[in-house]
Amino acid sequence: MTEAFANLARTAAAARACGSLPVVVLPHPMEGRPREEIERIARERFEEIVAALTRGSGPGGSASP
Amino acid sequence: MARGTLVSESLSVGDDPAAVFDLVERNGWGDGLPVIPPTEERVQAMLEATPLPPEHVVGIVDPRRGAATVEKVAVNAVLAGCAPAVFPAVLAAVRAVTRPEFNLHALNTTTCSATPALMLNGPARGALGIECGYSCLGHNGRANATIGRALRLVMRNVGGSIPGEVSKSCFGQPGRISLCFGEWEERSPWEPFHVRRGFDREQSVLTATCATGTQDIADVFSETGADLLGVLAHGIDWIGNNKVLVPQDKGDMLLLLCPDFADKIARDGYSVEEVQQALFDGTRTPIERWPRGLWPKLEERGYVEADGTVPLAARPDQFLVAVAGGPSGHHALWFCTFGLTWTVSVPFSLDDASGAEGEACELPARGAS
Repeated sequence: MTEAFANLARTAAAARACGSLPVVVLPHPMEGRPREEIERIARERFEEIVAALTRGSGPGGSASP
Repeated sequence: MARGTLVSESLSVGDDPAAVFDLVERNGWGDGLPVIPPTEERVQAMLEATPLPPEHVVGIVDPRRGAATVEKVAVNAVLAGCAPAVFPAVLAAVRAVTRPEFNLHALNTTTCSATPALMLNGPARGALGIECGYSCLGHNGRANATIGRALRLVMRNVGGSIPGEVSKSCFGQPGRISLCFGEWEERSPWEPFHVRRGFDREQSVLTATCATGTQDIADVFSETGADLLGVLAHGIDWIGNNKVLVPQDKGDMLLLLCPDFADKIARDGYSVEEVQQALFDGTRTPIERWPRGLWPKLEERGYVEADGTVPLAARPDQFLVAVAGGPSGHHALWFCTFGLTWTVSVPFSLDDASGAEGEACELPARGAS
């Protein structure tokens, strides 16, 4: 999600009993950025996204800030 | 007669309307306007207007997924200034917007200014004093103002649509205080809106449609229905409207015609279906109207037809038509939609619990999506 929507996403996730969803917060907005810039952000955050997708999210799991 | 013990938290505050107003605002429960204190007596009086039990869940309100019980709706209806008589309409509004196809989650969280616009049909209009004519969309009538406001407070207090925190609407809009009116069926040259949706004429029906704003369309030059429809089409096909951002087969849009406009169009032989076709045909915008830098994005999304036009909608039936507004004439009113939402109509009664379980008319198939 992007920064501007982070609190909304956490609210919605909690409302659906998915509060421990791993999240990665990206800069806002993403739309309207040049393709090269989006690709740069993707490269910079790739490892973080992979870690969030592959990290366990049981009762002890926690979401990224 | 009390309808049972209320389960809502009870707070004590000074016997002063200003103190209650301050409390509501400090807690983020209001909309910036004065409220009616929801005392137990007032909430019980509101509950008397429906045979539904207070614990009955009218709908689940996104994004918080709060349970809009009859009691919770009643509390918000009192805050909004509703007379008990209009409470069945408020319940119907909550039922309508919590239908999945309305996509309330999106309206409550979107960046655009979307809000439900509520239109009433049938005998409830007269019984409740719903304004259908002059200034029906605002600045006229307690019933109009408070029904719309009650829904908005439910969306906030039960659904969690808090500006900035959850609602990402860049600007909001005045309709996020209230937007409720009646169709002036008696001045329509066509069947009433709810009849065209499959309801009986004598049924009271509440329709919720998405409105990112209220776009006035004025015309004093057209002498024919065809010319007027051309003006109306170009009054709604502007490229910055939110509908353009979503696939063309998504969403429907309500256009209100003042009685004089409706008469002019019908006088020249147009049925509602033909009006819809005219709007559909007239809103196929040449891509040249867009800045050239946007063309590749429109094309890669499949929004551009083979003839180089960008339609506003995929089908004529996505244009909805109703008649309202004062007999002074010269204006139509368009509710631009944010796109990913469908208009919902639900029946309700002022006398009994009919419709309590979400009975709604089976709508025609919407076509391939």
